Amino acid sequence: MKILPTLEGGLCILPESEIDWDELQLICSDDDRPTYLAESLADLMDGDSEWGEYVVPDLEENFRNQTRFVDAAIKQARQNNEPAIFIPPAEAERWYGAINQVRLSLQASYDVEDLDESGDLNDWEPELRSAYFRNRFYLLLQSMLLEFIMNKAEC
Amino acid sequence: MFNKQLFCSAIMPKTTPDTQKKQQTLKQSDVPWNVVVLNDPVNLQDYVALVFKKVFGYSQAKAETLMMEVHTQGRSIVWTGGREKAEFYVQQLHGWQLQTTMEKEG
Repeated sequence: MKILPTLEGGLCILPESEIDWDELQLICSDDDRPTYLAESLADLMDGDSEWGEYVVPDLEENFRNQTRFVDAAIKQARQNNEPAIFIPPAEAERWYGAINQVRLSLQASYDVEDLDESGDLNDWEPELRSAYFRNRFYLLLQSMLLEFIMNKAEC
Repeated sequence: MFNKQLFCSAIMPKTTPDTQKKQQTLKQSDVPWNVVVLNDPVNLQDYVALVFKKVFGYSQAKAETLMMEVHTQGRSIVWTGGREKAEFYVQQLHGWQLQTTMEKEG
């Protein structure tokens, strides 16, 4: 898979195999993720607050909109056999948010950011190895979104 | 002769349990609240600074200072003020997926 900046100030993702497409579709594979994230953020507020009642539904909807949008963009490109997925500047934040959700989820499930990489990765459980590489790929995509789109928009 | 005690009792409302409660509530809501961002291993440093600029309108330098405080000390007070506005900011920061809470100052 290649990821390139475009002349229009966006990014272009070029999947090169079915595995690449699968990898992208996994960004939005879990329907419960927006709910879990909204509730876990609410847990940071004190127990007396009415955060859960008033704020969590809005947050959940916001997070779900991000994943639905990205899911639709990937599925549409794949179904239409398009060679690339384009992320224009106006859509960068939604992509970033959806990817962030999956990285937070991978961290919660596998502690991917705290794994000891000094050993042989082949010795890891396949599920853990997969989570590790997915996280590295999503991190790279987020870094490029920041560098080529989001930070530039702020300048 | 001017009776200060009588005068005061005439113009000042009597302090009932209800008014005491209201005064306590008022005092509590007057207490400044801190908006506190907590460190997490997922959110990128550049992203956290970007969010501080977007939400609070901070300069690049201030946003980076606060971001580094979150990173090195595990938490940073990014804003202090009234409760309602603090809640608003926490909601905004949650929307950007930053681990944020609020606490009474002091």
